[in-house]
Amino acid sequence: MVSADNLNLDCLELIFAYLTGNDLASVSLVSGSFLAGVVPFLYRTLVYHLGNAKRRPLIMTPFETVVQHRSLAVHVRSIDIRTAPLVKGVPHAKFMGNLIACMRLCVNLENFTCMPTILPALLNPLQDHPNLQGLRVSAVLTAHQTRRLATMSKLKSLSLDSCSWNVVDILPSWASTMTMSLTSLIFHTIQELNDCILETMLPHLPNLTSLSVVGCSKVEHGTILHATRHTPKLRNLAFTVWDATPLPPNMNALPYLRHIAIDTHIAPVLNGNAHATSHPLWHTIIALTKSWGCSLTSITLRLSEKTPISPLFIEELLEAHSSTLAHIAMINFDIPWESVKVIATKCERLERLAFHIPHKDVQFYSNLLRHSKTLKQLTDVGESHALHATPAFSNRTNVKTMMLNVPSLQKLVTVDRIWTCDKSSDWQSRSLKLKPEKRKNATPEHWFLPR
Amino acid sequence: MVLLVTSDNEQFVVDKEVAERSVLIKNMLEDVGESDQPIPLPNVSSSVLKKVLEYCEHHRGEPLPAADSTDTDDARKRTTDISEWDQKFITVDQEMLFEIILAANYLDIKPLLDVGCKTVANMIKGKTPEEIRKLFNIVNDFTPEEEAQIKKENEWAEDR
Amino acid sequence: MPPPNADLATTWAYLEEGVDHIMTKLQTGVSYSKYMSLYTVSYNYCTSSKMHNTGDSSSLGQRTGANLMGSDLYNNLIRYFVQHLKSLREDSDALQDEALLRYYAKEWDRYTTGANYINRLFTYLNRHWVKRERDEGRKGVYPVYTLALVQWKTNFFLHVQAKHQKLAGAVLRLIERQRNGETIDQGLVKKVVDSFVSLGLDESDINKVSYEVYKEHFETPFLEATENYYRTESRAFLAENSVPDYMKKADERLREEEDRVERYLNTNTRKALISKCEHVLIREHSEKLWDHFQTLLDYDKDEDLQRMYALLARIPEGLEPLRKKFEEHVKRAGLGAVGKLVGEGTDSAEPDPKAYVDALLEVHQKNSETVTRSFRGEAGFVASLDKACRDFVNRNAATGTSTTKSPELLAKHADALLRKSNKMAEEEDLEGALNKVMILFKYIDDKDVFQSFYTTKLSKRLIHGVSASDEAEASMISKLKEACGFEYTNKLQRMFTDMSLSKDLTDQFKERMQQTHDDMDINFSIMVLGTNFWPLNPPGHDFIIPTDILPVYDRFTKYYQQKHSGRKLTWLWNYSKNELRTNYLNQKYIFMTSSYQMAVLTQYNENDTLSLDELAAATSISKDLLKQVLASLVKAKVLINDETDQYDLNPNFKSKKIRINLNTPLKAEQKTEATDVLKNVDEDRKYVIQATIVRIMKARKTMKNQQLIQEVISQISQRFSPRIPDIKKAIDHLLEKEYIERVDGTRDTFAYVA
Repeated sequence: MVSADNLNLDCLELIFAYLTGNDLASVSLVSGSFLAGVVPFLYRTLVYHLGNAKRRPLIMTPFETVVQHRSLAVHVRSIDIRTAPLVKGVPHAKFMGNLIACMRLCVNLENFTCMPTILPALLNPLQDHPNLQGLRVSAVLTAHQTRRLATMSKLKSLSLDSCSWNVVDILPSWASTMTMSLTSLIFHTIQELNDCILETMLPHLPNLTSLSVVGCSKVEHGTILHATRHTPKLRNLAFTVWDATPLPPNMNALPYLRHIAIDTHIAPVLNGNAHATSHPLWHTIIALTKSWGCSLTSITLRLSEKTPISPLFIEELLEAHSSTLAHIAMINFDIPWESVKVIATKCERLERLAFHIPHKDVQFYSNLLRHSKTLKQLTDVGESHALHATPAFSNRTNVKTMMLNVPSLQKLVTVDRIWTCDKSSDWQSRSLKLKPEKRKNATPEHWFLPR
Repeated sequence: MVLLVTSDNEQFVVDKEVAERSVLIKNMLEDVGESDQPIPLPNVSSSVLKKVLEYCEHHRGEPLPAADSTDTDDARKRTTDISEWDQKFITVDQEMLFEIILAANYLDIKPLLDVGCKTVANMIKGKTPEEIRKLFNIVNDFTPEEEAQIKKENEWAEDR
Repeated sequence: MPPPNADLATTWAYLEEGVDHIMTKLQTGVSYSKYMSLYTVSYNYCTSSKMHNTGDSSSLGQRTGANLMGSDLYNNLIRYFVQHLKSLREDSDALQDEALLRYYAKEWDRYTTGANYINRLFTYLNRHWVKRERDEGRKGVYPVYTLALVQWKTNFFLHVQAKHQKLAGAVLRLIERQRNGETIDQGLVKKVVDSFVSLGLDESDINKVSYEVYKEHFETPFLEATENYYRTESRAFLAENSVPDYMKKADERLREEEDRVERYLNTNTRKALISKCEHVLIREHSEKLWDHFQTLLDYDKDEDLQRMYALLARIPEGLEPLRKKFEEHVKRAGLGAVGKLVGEGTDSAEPDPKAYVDALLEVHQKNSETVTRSFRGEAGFVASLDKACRDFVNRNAATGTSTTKSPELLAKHADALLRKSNKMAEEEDLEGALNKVMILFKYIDDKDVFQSFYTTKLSKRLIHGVSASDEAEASMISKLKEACGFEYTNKLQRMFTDMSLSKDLTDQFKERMQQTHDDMDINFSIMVLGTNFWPLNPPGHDFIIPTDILPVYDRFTKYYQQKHSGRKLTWLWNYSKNELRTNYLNQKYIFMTSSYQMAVLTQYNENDTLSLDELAAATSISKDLLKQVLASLVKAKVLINDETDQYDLNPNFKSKKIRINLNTPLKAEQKTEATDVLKNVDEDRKYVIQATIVRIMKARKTMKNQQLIQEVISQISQRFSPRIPDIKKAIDHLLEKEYIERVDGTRDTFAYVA
């Protein structure tokens, strides 16, 4: 008789490929055959985040496990370090020792993420991986260390979250060694980055499909947009707008653009009426994307302070892209209810929508959103400056109302929970089964990237 | 039409188009050429083949997935969503579920294999090791020491 | 068929028999059940990896996850391939050249077909064990088909090649035989060459094609052989044959090589092969080709020129020497044509405008056709043609150093075309002739000189009513407008307006006179011409209006003042014409005269004999001019001048014609015309330069001297080439008039004075 226990290993592995995190850990404890099947997935990505650090030294780090069982190393494709345990302000010696040894063992390493400032110590083992494809680091390095980092010439994606001026300085020449491979580039909160570096760097990177320059205060949005003439293949673009400078004329077209994220740090233009506000620049950018003939499937807009937004802008956006948009996120927006209805009605392919849903009006908003036949996931982005306020969807009744009123909805993400519900076949005749999960994300991706 | 013969010697006459949802059969017909010989399927029983053919019949004419799309990374990124018909189709007892997975694996019917594996994965999600053992009627073959050791080594993977 | 849990030995024994059947006897066929058994056996073996089997819990330390089954099968496959290829190698050892190629191609077909089959039978091994091994970074593990190719390469291909490139050498010898004109089996070559491509393997991504094997074992030696072959051939050929014959040969060879790529080489070789051939066949002999160019031009060898162009266009910088030579050739032809014309002309003063224009046009047309036909209208050659034409059109044996002669002659030619006296049979002919004028006009440097002459000539045609047709005139003006803009033809257009207004005015005046005076026995028509648009000057002396026409003169003056009060009429007696009827002779004649002639003749209404002084007093015409007028009347025998300064009416005047034209142009007028025009041009130029400076300064506010001069030149050169001293003079003039001023503290910066 066939059972889960004696299913052949190939099939077990196919099953486990759909699991993540906790579930993989649970599976490893079931039985010998399950352990054997799950190991390649469990050890595919080694993560170390705040949760791990808090429980130290009660639990082993993944690096220590790999060092003790060297045969696991072959499965490791990614290492993701979000924090490092400190002892009197210095990285814990044993932790670092295990990490370095582990990195040396992982011959198939493809992606490396390191957010704490321990990168200098890891440059040596990192150099054992000249074929590394993805690198995300915060790089506070000396000039010498920078040169060693820049020997990585086969990167497909590079993400820098804050770094020293040495690193910024070497970027143009580093970029010239990655012309063939690099397709994704992210600069996040790098105060040393300036227009000139970006302008000399991008001509080396004609194959970029994703470019994000967010929170870098010395880079003008005009420069970023102008520089994209060197990167005509862009699919994703994210940038920060610091002031109201108009765009340069004769912008080159980005016909392949699918996702755009705009982080806006300027006060909106108030036209007397509190509801009629929007940034002239947004209008310009939407008009531009329309003229390029690109079909946006995703847009993320974020404001530095909560502001009511003009329904006119939403109309322009939809006029240009309603037939293709599948994802819309508006962070820190006070969005008029009419616009929510228009979005639900006009976007034929809308699957995911994120905005702040006032918790008193759940019933009302659910009635607006029921106009969409495709919406699968709704995210309440909350109010970033009011974390102490009651989260909108904290109670089951609200979630239920929303789920019942919006037929296609399958997933609801609130500030602290992820609610899923099984709506297969005859769900309407049965009582709705809601499944809440705690929302934890120890290794978050950048908000401005497409999802 | 092709003639399929199961391990328990039952014969199924099906449209070539339906049988060719199985990449194994499709490749063989291509390599050997068509004839009226019966095609023996020594690893599939009639009850399972009936079920598999039901799936193939429903999905006939859909594009076949590319030959090299077995990448586990892809599988990971793909959601565990299952379409409504498939969901209903795969609502079977555990033994049949595993039999379908094995048959899909043997006959090389990738979409069916995916549906089966996703279903099992969904069953596992959110459960403790003990709950999983109970679900699948698995005997814990670890000693308590081994279990503690494994737990300690893999605890880092839990999101807490 | 072995059971699902059979051990390796049993399993492999079963599989090996099947594999061997497929690799060696596939033509005898495979049954469905055999196929399915082979697949099932390999599937069962690969899926037999279960944790249970590997047994006890001590394997916990073994954390590789599952130990997938497959490596044993894989290794057995390798052993099989090695064995199989060993026998092929032995069989091939004795073979050479074509026999070797045939053997290789036949076995390659059989081997790859079988390997494809086996690859599918072992799908499960590929999908799981091989994939896992590769994912984990193991080098040297490939899907079964790729494995088969790798084995072919190391155990067969490289062995054969190791013997002095036996395989590639055989292919190259076949190709050489084909180049020598023999017929070869191209399909065979293609098969072998294609196998070289298939054997390339990109270690990092096996789905990518790598041309490494093809390049190393075939392309490089092939290119080398090609270079040697054609170097030898082309040298030998040129030693015994002419350049045109060589070009034919080279052309043919290049086409053959293109064809070769199509037929049996990899398309990636095209670029390298063709550029290699171009280098050897063209570049290395380009000097010879360039040297032969002039001969081809001289003898109008059209086809050869085309071929030379096409060949040299293929190599970088190949055409530049031709363009230079062509430019010189055209220039020489142009200068030669004019030189011949001037040499054979009866009076050396000035060639006939038509002959001159025709000579220039002929050279242009001939060479323009050469550019289109032989050089495919290539822009570089067009530029060479234009430059040469500009040179010989503006300066040649007829013009000497003067740049104004050509525009003058061209304007005169245009005038001749547009006169009634021109007998162009069809409208189209005239239109065609005007278009040809425009061809030369394009090359004229001093377009303003042409403009002045043209204006003068046009005014004559209009005043004397000798223009051939209004349409032709309008057509010519629109051509000039198209070439030089509205400004250039503005005056010309105004002249036509004046003409038509004058016609209306004459009619209206006549009508009025019929209403108010019925005693008008004089036929009268008038042209009122705007002073600024017509290149006409009033007479430089007084003129006593003859009493016979005085009443009409007064009436019209009054009428016109009534109609347009405040306008000043200046009477151009020197351009007026009259018709007089005789009544002192038996036969009545009609004399067509100038106003001066009329003024003289009407004096004889009262007298039969008058002295020069008397006539001068009666008419107020200066004596110099009067003498010429009288001479013309004496010459026509209307007056008789037997004694000095004494003029008698000839009572015996006789003529065969009733209408006699006495109004022949005076010599003095003819001579001054050209100099007047040129003087006007000079005046105009001064004005244009000044106006341009003011316009520039108004826009720029301040400017440096050098910059200003450059700007002026670039703005004016459309019309003529201004001389720098003239520009400087204009600047000084404007400084003086305070249109501009020097910026304080600088020597060479000017500012606009608002």
